[in-house]
Amino acid sequence: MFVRDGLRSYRRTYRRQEVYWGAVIVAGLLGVLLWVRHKGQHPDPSLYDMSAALSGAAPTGAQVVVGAERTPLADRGPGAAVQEASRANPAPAPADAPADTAGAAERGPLPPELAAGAFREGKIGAYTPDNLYVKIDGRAEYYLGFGLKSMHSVTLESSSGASVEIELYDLGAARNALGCYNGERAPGAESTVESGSTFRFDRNAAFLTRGPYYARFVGSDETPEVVAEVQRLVEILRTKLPSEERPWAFDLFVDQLKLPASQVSYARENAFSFGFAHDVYKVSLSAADSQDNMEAFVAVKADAAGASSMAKQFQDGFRSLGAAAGQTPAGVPLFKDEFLGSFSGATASERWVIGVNSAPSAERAHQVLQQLEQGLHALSEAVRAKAQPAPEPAKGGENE
Amino acid sequence: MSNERRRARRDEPEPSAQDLEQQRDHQRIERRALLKGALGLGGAVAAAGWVSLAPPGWPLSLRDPDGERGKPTAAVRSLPEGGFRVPDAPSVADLGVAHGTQLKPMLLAALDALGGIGRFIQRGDVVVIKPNVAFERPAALGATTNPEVLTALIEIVREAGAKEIRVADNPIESPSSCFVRSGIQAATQAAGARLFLPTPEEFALLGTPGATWIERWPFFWGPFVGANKVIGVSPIKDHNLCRASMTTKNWYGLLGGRRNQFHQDIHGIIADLALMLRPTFVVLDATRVLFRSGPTGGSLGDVKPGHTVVVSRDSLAADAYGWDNLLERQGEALPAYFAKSAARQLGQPEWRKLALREVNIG
Amino acid sequence: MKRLPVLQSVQSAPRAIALAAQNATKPNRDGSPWYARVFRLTTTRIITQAFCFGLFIFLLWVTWFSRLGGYPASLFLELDPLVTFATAVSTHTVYRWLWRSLWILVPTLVLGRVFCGWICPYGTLHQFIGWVFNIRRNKDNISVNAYRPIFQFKYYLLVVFLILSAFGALQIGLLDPICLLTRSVATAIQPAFDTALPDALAGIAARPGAPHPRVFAGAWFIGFLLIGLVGMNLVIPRFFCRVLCPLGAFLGTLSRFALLRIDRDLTRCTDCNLCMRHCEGASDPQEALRKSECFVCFNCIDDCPEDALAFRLAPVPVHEQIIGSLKEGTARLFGRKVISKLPETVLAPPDVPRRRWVFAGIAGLLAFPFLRFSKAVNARSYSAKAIRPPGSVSEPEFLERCIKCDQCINVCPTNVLQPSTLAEGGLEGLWTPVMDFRTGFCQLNCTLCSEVCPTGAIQKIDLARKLGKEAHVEAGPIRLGTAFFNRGRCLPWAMETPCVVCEEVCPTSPKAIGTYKQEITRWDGKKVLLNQPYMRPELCIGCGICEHECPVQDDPAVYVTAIGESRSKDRSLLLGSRETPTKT
Repeated sequence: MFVRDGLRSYRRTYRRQEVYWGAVIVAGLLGVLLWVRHKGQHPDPSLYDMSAALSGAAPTGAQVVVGAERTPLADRGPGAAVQEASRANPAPAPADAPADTAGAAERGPLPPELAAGAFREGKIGAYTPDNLYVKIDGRAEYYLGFGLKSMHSVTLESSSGASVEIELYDLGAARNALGCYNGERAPGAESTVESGSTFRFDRNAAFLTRGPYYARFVGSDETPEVVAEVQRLVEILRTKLPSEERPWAFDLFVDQLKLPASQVSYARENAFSFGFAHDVYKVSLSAADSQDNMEAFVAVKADAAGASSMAKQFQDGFRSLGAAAGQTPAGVPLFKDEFLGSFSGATASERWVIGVNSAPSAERAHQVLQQLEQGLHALSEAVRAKAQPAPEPAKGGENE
Repeated sequence: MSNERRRARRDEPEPSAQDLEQQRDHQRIERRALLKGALGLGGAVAAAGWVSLAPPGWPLSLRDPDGERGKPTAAVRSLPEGGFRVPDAPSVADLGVAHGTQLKPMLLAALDALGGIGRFIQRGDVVVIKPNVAFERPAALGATTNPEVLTALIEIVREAGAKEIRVADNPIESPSSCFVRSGIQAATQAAGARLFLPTPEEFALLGTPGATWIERWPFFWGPFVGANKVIGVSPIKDHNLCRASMTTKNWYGLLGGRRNQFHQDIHGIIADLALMLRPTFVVLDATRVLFRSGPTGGSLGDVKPGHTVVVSRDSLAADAYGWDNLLERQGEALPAYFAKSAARQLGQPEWRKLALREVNIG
Repeated sequence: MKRLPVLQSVQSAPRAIALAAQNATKPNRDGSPWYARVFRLTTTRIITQAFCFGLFIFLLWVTWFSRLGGYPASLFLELDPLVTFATAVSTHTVYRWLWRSLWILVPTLVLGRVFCGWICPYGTLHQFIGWVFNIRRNKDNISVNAYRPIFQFKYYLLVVFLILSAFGALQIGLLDPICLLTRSVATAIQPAFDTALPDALAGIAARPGAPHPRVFAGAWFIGFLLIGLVGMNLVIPRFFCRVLCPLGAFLGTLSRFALLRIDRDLTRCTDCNLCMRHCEGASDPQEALRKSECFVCFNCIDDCPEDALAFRLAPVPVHEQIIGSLKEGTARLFGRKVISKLPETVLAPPDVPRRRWVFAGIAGLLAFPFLRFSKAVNARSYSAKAIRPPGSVSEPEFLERCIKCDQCINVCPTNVLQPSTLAEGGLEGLWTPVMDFRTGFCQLNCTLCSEVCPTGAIQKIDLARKLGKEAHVEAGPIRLGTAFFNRGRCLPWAMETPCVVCEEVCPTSPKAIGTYKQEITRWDGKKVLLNQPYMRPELCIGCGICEHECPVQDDPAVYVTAIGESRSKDRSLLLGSRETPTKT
């Protein structure tokens, strides 16, 4: 290009034929361009299809670790705390040796013959309080707080790829299971109480408590197939799981005060966020969609002295949230919440502590307290004898 | 000169006057050339001398006696004094909670509890919305902000009169894939907002006076040029290290540099994040709750529906509310960052002491 | 009609333009219309070359997550007949889109090496550089375009490569022009382009939205090699195409069957040698055309003042038909006087003596054991860091298929794929893709590398296959390797400092990294809660985001090595690990 005559060609004759061929070739190039553009606008759908990422089934090859988590003994920092000693309790060697009938032990309380129709059983897992967080990382504390004994899970998978997972928690006592159930229930969600079971459905999930057990059912998607399967499994567990006698507080709330059983709840510890408040039964008195959050509560102690000291603790606790607001006609001190403006109060009645939280007015609080008092007195001797305090939750080593 | 040559010279005719004139002209030219050369040489020497010897403060001087001038400096930016907050209004609620399934009415109701969107966004504002797009996951897995919430929020902000709406985040995984697969890019473009990708030239050093760890740290500065309102929208997620990831930790996605060092004091960092950025308001997107195996999730069994959004000016309050009610960890101690941030007067973790309005929409 | 010298006669620009236009559209001296000169075949060829080069660069530019759509990003690699042929020899299959090379093969059989002259983007690059920086006069141009025996070298290379392919070591990618140019653009040119681009033009960057400038191992060598080979055009025009190109050799061998070729009319040729002035292939049109070297560029026809050259259908040598003696000038052909003094020798494509073929064959036979038994790629001693992309077939098949085009490296959004250096794969594995988790990690939901691989070294997989979901639940996810902890460098294990970024970013559910929780009192009296990570190898898919995010960046405390990868049964770690079939 930079040379004189570099661009010049020496031929002397030209032919129209070349132009025609040239036109054909350029037309071909345009065709190629259009083809490339067409391909570009029609991508392969599988390249951008993310549905596989949403499939429920966990990848196989994931062998769940069974047996206690051991913290390794070497390589610790100096002055490592005492917690280590309790954690270093070696559980027996991994129970994943399926040589013997450990298969049956792994199922735990899960009923047999869950599989039916298109769904077959897949992975089964068994967990203890020490290794629960392997399965439900981050959520284990909640169940441990209700006195978890063990958890068993099973996944039922259908050939179409849909699946339902059941997690069955053994919480040791019906009250714990009930409290755990209600703790996971949103305020607006209604439960059904029927012949010893309490349960509710939520799209492709379901939650059930019966006896000392609490079961969660989660489907992989919201197709009718999966929802029907969830309902079927709930039915099975409702009939097969052992029931327990309902806690004594139901006699009070349901029989005497005529409140719906689905509103009864239980706090094993930290009721109303008070550290001392263990073993408290609560019933919600407000409608689900109202602004108020009134609850009546009752707890039982070993003797009257224990009851009155707990009642005093409640009073101190309510006072710290607000200010004293006089007394009910029956002489029970009331306290008004500083910000919510609601009334709370507690008192002892023999071995029992009764109280009301977040009542909209002093009159209402008094009314509820009276009802509780009368209800207590109206209970039969048998029920009163049945009402015993639950064992204290063990301190240390259990909660993280 | 040789003898021969001398003789020949002697015999030559004398140069004429013209020849001598010519010679003098030539000498003049030579002098001029010499002068030019000498001036050029002198100038070059003077320049070199000036540049290397003149005292450091003087113009055009490059002298650096002790190496101080040679050290690299980077301009440190700062965010506006007081952050992006709007003035207080004591008569309205501090936390707006809306339950339901229709997102735009829910957001509007929650914002009404706080005084309406007009309190926060005025005509002509340039608004930065910061969602959580940290991972390349479909929205249903709960690891990222729900794109429908983002769409509703952009619409609300636009209707309030914002001039420009910017959506930005610095994800942990590959940015273009994260924005696309989480649905945030499509939502942003459909709603007409401007998307900022975290390319290297968008980052600048930010100074946060008083911070423990991030007093000067690379910050995603590009979207903030000319912006006067900032809104955070974060999902609610479990997190193994810091126990939960909600609206306060959301600002993590505006930092660059070596963020993987933050985990050595994650609660201190979150407290610093709260100090670094005081937003106009935050939205806690609890339409889905990633209650275990967070913050990446990965399986639908880790997610449950929450059907809730929480709006607040106070991210600690919103987080504490989410901790108690949505992650349902009421009774467990709050993560340490709450106390650290509260100690710096950055929010009120005891949400029960604040005015709360809760609505159910459909 | 004499053309008026435009600049000398006119002062103002509009007049100059009008005059130039007038000049350009004058009919030619021989009476043919002006467009026959302006749009002659060489013009069309230049347009085609520019178009193909532009298309090539466009397809590489569009090989990115946000742009890919359905574009045939590896089109030129699929069109490359040597790629198809060599992989067919090594794998006995024609994978996916490789049949598109028929679109090049068939015209080659008819016309000759049109690919080299019209389509090949690397050839266009050489030709352009050689033309722009050409400072030679006519005489030197002619002498530099003469045929030289060194042009036989590419045939030796082709033989060696094909024999290696037959044994299962596919090495054509080292010098195949399309592979070479793709690799150079992807690893050296595009990062340089992106860095040089001003911010305002960031939309046309090759890799928009990349959080860091892309870096590639050995890019310096690839770049300098490109500059060197292109620079050689200043010495010999189209040096690479004539001396080194194995694809050119392949097409040249096939050209012997070509139906059309340049034919020199002896009754018109005056032996002026002007046809060699711009002959691209150095194919001796002035003597007897070497069809295996001719690029069908038509420059010779453009330069012949006597119209002695024509592109004719199946010409046969005419020297037997000549009556008389050429030397004495009395020769006559078909009644006309033969002017040219150069006889037309028998066309001999390609002109390689038989013994040299044998030598090349022996070299090829020896090359295979030299390469394969040099430890780097053997099952007994493979490199721990040779971690292949997801969807790769097992290593022996991989080396049969990978043409080192680096398209996968081009498209990878996180920059984790790097061209292998000699350390990871030896010479046989040079420039094949391996993962370096310090520059990136394998994104969980991404399968782009499998989409663009033209030869199936990385089989096309969909997301369900990669994650081990839906139909692939039994086989499990694709594992690239396994992560290991170096506890001596891990902050919570060895340094009493909280961390656990690795667990946070682990993408599997349940996570493949678990933590032991310990509360300790440090050396300075502070109490800290340490989350000490440990591996769950059954769950680890080897994606490497843990290694990438580990704050101990220089020598990460958690690192991934190749063992446990699911593509190879002999590289499994756990007894219970399931074997993934390599060909689904």
